[in-house]
Amino acid sequence: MKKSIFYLLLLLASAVYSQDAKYVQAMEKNIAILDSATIPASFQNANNTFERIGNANPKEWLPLYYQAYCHTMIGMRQEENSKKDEHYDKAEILLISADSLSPQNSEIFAMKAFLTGMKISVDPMTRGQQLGMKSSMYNSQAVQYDKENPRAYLIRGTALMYMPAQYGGGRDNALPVLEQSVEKFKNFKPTSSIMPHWGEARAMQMLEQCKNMK
Amino acid sequence: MKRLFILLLFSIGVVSTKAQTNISGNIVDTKGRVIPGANVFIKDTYDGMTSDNDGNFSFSTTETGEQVLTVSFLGFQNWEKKIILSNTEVKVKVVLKEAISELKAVTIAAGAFEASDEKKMVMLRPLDIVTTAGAAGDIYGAIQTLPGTGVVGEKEGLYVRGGDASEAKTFIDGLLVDNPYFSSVPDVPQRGRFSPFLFKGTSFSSGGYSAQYGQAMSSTLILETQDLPDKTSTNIGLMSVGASAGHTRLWKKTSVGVYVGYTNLAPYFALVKQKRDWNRAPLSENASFSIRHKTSKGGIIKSFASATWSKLNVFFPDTTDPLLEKQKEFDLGNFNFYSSLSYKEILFKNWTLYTAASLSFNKDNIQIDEYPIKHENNLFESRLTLSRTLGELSVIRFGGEYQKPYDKNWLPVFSLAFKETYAAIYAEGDFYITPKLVTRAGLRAENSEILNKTNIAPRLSLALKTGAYNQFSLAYGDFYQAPQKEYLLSYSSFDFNFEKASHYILNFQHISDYRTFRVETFYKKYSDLVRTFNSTANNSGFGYATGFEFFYRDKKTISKTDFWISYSFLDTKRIFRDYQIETMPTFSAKHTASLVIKYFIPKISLAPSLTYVYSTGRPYYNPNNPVFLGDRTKDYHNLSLNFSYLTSIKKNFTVLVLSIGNVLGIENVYTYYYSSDGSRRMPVGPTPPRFIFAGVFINIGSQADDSDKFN
Repeated sequence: MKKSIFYLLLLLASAVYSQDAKYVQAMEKNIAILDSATIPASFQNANNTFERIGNANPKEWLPLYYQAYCHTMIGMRQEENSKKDEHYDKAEILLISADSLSPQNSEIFAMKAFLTGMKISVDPMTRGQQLGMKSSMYNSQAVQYDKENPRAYLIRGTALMYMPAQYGGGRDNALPVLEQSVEKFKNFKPTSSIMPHWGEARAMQMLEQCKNMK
Repeated sequence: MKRLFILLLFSIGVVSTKAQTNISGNIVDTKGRVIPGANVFIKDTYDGMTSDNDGNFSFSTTETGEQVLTVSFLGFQNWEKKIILSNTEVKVKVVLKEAISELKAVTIAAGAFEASDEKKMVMLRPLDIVTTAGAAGDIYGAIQTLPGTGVVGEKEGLYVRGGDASEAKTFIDGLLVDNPYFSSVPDVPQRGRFSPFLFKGTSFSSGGYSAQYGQAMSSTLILETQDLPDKTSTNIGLMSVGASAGHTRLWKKTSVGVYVGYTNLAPYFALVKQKRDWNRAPLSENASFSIRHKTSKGGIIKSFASATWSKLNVFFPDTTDPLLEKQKEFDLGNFNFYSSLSYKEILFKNWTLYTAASLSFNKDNIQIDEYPIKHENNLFESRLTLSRTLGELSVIRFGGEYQKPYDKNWLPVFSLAFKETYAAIYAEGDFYITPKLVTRAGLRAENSEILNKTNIAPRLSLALKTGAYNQFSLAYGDFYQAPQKEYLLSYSSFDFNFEKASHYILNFQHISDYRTFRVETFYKKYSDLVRTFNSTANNSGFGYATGFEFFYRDKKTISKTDFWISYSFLDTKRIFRDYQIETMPTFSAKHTASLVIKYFIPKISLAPSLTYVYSTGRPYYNPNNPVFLGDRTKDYHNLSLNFSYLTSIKKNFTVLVLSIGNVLGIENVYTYYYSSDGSRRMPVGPTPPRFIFAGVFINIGSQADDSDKFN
């Protein structure tokens, strides 16, 4: 009888574990797909899988976060401004939901800063000043919640590169921040297999680009 | 024991060998076009896939029984269907409906020009207003580059589609502004009192506007003040004509702003010779204060108060002098106070409350030679609007407006007081029949105590979207306005009625990312205009205005260049005031055109811009011509340049501005003064033919001041 209770408990535990394992496994698999995505269709495909995982796990913030990342990537690859905005607006809504599930999350705020930067690029002349402030505010919060988040530095550095020197941007202001980003990527260990880990290659590429700026 | 174990094993086996059901189908939109990339899945499970390039999908699931099949795709409404999974293949045909979004929906556009940062499909941004050359940072100056507005150089105001300046009203946060301009000075047009930086949205209507507003026969300029700022910041301005400083402090949900400004044209007038003799160049001091508090996600309280003191002393020609050589001295001291309080809140799910009140006070102490004239006008105004959304886009609004002006005039021998109570109620609905077809129907009822009259004004618009970027709009409306105070006062024993204008507008517009094209044609019928005879007055005046307008804006064709072209054709005649015949009024011109070019050179952070305004001559009164208003002034030309240089001073964002109005120094003539016997005349033109302005504006706190956090 004791044995049977043991088996029963084991079975229950494995059922609970398998639910969790199923989530992690699905996420891992899809993050791998996302990591190799380059064209909008593959980002769309990854986005859809994250949406399904998120729908079945409404308490998890990561599927929403990755969906926002996918939409940002698709938006960047659109020709028409209205299409870009459509994806960026969707990403913004997803990040608001993610933020409510996991408040004061450095990764979410870094993503918000990244997204805001992309929104500015649609129409820098009219959006620059107001959204620029917002973007730098999100970035500050990202660093405040996790000083070691290399993506926060990457996004900040990139924003500074494209920001006119009059607003406090430009090569000289961007360079130290990008250097820090690369440094922090070297020491960065994601806390789990499904936590955000993107950006290292991009950080090195941006640093190189920044060094070559006039 | 063993049995239990077997049972458990068996149950695991059941789980792992569940039957599979295949689900397949095809996804199209309402026009039958295939949709690739859509997400098809069984709700609350991982089972699903992305539709392929032909909109097809096919996947299998181990789920059984009744499930919900869901399809989602950005820009379309979610699609859901209950399906029964029982081993037999499920085939579905999915038709996705386009999502209803403000971006894609048609908008009421007839007569409207909107500048907003929040909305995407607008023709202008608030920044466009600030950076238009020739406007010198004045909202009205920038509005005058838009179609439908005329050039009247000798007096401030918006002259829209054959309408006088008194037919155009300014509203801030829904409240009428009694003195939107600095006090009038003979032949010297005045600027608007309010800085464009106060506003997040500007909506200029050249006709057919909403039932929420009234008492403007031609046009409304609706200004919406800023919400909570993003950051604490300080602004400093040093100009050739004065200085200004402002500070806004932001807490979590509250902001407090203070602003002080000082303007003195004396040093400038000492350097640049003026056409007029000034005893005292215009001098003004301004202080304003604002508090904004966010009460909830959609709720905000805003309060604003501004006080301005100004004075000047100038000579102007004495038209009673047969030689037109004598001059009169005009001395003005003005105090103006404006305060407002507004509250917006989302009440229940679909209801929004907006309420606002303002109190303003204006006092002019004028002295013409030895004759003192004192004029005071006060206005209390309040408004309450309730709105309810119906579905995704439709909305109904209703509310009321109450105005209580009180004026007093002290003339050398007597004084006149003007008291009025004006009340209006309105109801209006924007009904979206489909996202591409909208009708706005409104009704406004107004009552004036002094006239002892009530009117009912219907408003109706219709807009149809014919393509992703194209739409047609139609508008009709009746617009009433009480006669000008001066007539009500001077002819107080006569019975007056509201003056009336009916508008009919047809509009086509195309707004895409980089290009905007708009063409509009209108017919405006005036009736019941005030006419004065020797000693009597009545509402027997009438008239019409008709014409068409073009607007084209292009940000792409020429690299780093944003330009817009406006053209207005106007045919108008009226008989009103002391006119003897129905004729073209003095404030109208047949052809008006303007070109605005904004260029940006990123390498040197220099933004030069240019504004050119052209207008054909306007009628003027010549006592020697037997035809009343039979003469026309010569054509008007004005070329203005503006250079903005963006830089930073100690890491603080700084703009250096150099602005030159009427660069070519063209001697424009607005009208003529005739001596009493008609033998001599004198042209009235711009007081300085050329105007030069230089300034430095520093913004502390706007730049990336988070460097400490990243180092």
